[in-house]
Amino acid sequence: MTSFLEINGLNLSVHSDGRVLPILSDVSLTLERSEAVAIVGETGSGKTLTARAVMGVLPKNAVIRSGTITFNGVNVLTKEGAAAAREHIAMIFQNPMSSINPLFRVEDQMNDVLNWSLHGRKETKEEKTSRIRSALEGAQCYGDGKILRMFPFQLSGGMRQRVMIAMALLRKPSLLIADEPTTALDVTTQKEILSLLTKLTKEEKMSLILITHNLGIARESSMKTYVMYAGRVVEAGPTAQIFRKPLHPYTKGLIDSIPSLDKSRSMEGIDGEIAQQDRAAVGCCFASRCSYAIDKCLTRQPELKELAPGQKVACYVAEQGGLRVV
Amino acid sequence: MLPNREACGSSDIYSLEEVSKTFEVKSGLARSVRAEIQAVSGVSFRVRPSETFGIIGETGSGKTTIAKMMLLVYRPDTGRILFEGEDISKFKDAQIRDYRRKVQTVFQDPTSSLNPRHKVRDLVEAPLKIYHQASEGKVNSLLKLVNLDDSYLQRYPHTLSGGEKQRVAIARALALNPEVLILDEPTSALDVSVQAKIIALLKDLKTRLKITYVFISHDLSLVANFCDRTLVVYRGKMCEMGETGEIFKNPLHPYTRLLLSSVPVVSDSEIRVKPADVPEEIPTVPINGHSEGCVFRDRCWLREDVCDTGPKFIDKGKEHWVACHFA
Repeated sequence: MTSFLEINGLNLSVHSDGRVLPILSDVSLTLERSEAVAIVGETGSGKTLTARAVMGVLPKNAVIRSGTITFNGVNVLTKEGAAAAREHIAMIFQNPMSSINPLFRVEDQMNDVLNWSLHGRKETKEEKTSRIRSALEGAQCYGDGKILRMFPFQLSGGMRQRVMIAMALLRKPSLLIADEPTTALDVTTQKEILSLLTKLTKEEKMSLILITHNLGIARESSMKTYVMYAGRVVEAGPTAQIFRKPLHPYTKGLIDSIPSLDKSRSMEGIDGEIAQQDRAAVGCCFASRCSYAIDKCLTRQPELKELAPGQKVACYVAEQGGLRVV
Repeated sequence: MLPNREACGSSDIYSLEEVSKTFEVKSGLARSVRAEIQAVSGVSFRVRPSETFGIIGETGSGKTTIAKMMLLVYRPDTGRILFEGEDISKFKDAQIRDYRRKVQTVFQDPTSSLNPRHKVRDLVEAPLKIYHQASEGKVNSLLKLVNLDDSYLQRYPHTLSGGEKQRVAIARALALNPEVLILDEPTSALDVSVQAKIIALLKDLKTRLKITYVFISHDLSLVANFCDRTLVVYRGKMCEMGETGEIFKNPLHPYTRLLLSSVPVVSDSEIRVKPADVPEEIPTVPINGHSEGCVFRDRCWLREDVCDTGPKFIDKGKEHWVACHFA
């Protein structure tokens, strides 16, 4: 049986200054209906490009070399498939201010989205207004339609993000891609937005791809987690399990870097950063920063292997049970 | 009693006494005043030598305004800011020059605080030149202090990663041997793995150089790991202040408890630290009338009539200060 969304062996490169740079290598991901998955990783790990490939909104210089993406049984990588999928997929971005037009009232912008999605069909003004209102209510934007007449600058950060979510909900998407939806928000607002997204996955049977660099968010709002590094999935599995027992040194390093409320972690950090040569490395992409690396890691790229029930890891050291020993 | 009146020696680096700042919102052709925003009101605290003093709060809580007043960017409307016992608003030219040498700052976004057309050498050398202290090898030793080697000297900011840029910004702030570093969310634009490295560097520099840090952040977990004492502010007012460990173990103000319960965490042991009495959903009840009351009462689930009169900021023992009728 195929999953609701399936990405299989996706390879993507970017053409820049006459050079071809590999960005995503062999990325695979599955998502069921009403499921929430998180994609985590540092800046430059390829999280956003993976999501944009699903949505069919890649930068002009990006080329998919191989791999498939099927959404609801339809191949998204064909022109017709992409158009069909886009009807059911919506995306929200990190900074709501840069994705809402500052010159138009909330109502006008939402109307635009509606008109576009109607494809020439006619709907009365009342029908549209009621759909806009129910979308706003779905996003917990209350205030008796006052918001409709407001300009984006009159809204707080949290309200703007709710308006963005309402715009995404207008077309009743079956998949919502949220790219760092709460990075610009306060912790209390962040919690509200995340519980709203969780509620939508449960009540509206919506699937959610949550892209974040905040591992705490991934742990609290997703069922499955994909850890990406330099354009590869290095660890994937049930969220609770990954956080309780990370098997990849990178996942472990990331978790150990997070400051803890009860000072239970060392906050060690990981030396260095993702380098372009890691993406094309012969060996493991993380080897140059890994303190567990052995000779084998430098000569061959490890494959994702299921080392615990449902938990796949691409690491030779983890295969040998090495992380636990060190 | 306010904390600045407590029996504390003149050994404090900073002493803020009832500091307030109001901004006017002007609009229209005549630029007439349409509204006033009380950014900071009645804030008093002391910063002790070689400690890390944390200020936490949400957007709009006034934490950056406090920092800007300490940096002489704004002057407080009322109240005084004493630096080593002297009122900084009374400083004359030479004193201001000396003060600016002693108090340096590191900002949130290193990309906008480093001039993109200058090389790392020029960036770090700039304060030294202004104070006529430039010399061979000084820049190199500063870069070494932040764990960057000489190969960085000739590079431009755009060739550096976020963490490296922030290291350059820290090196520049340290150039004049300051006594105080005001750190305004220095790691919020960085990845956690890099943030951990920068925090480790700051901790290391503190023990080596005996600097005092004023650390502004909205990340509670980070403050828990980095600050000796912490002040929680909400809409320009002080909610709670004390030893960081004490505040996180025993948060008395409902706002502090709300913040703590909202932090996304990655382990089960941290969930146990979160206060259990915070309701899942908190409706906002508008405040009508009384403008003097507790600033948090529109969101507070403990609200009663008594909250319409402002709670005093009092010491609950162990230097744990809180402004709440129910604490």
